Amino acid sequence: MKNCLIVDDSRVVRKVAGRIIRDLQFNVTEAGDGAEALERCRETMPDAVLLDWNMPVMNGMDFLRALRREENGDKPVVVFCSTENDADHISEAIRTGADEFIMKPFDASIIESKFSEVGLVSAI
Amino acid sequence: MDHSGYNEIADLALRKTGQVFRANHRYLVEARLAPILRRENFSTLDELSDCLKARPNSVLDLEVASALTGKDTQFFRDRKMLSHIARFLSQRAESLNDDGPKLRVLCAGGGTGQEAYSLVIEVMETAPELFENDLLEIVSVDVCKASTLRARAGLYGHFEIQTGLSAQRMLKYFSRTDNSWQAGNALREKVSFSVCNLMTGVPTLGIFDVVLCRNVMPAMARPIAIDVAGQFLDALQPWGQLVLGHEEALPTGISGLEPSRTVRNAFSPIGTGAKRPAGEEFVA
Repeated sequence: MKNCLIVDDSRVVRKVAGRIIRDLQFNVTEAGDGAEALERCRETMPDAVLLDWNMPVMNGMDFLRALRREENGDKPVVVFCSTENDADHISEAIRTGADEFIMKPFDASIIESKFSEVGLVSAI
Repeated sequence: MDHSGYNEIADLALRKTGQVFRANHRYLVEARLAPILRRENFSTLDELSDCLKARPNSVLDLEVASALTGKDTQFFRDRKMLSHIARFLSQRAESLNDDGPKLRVLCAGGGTGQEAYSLVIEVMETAPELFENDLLEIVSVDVCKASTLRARAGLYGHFEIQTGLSAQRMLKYFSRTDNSWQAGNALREKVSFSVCNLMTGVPTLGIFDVVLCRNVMPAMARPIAIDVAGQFLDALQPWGQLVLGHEEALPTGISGLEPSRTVRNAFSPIGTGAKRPAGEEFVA
């Protein structure tokens, strides 16, 4: 089973996303900010990261830059998941090394669709 | 419970668009008509039905029947099928004459346009010469006027734009407007959208190399579905492809089509090449 790390300062978002991603057959771990997420990655590098943008301590962009510098940090597929959803923010996230971008609010079909775009789940 | 209003509406749908709604489809009819009921201040289907009866053949008749057609669609619903079509068109293009007709694709029951725009993107990315050399015409028709207008405008909401499209494709081909995302000119200029009722309108559309009619005919009464499939057969080039939905079967009773060897979920005229001449004279 693949591992997905959900990084969001909202417990509710982590819970909702976690439920959806478990249904896609992932083991799910959680972190409340970028710094905590980096610790989780140093323990076990996940296959996928669902990543919020605005968080206390360390935001999503800073986490993403730090992650890509870690050993094996190029491996996880990173899917941003943010309310910052204008074209400029989305391009910036992709340029910085995110593989996909989900604009909040999301539902199960959006997560499944975006996960299939990046090959985390198989498409029809 | 009195079913007369529901039955009248189901009957209207059958007459106008060939769709079948049985007694246990009431929830579906109520859901699809909810926006019209709200707008017209009706609290029940019976009130709507009374109004329709009072003014037979009004604009509302067709609007109700259109609203009852399935709207479930998304970008790149079947990627393999789209790539097969792009490859098929690319191969056909090699046998086109310089001054002959273009390749033509029909999206029948194309709804809000995701299928047509997905095909445009697929062709732009895998067979761009078809557009660069102006060899391909894509026509998308739907019975629903509201869907057709939205398709033509290329406007998609938050959930639609995120289902089936990667962020890269979204940024490349669409731009953000106030509350939605709009297909850019590069996409919109490559598809013509019009209102057309498949029960009667297919012969007016001309001859096609590919007809996509996905998940439309299974909702129709069988005799009507057979008739519509027959019209598609008549509108296909001898080498043409009629593409149905994933795991969708041809209406039982139709003859003249066999499973395609080139495109997934597709059927082609039996006796390829012998059915009739290339048919340039049919092309508008």
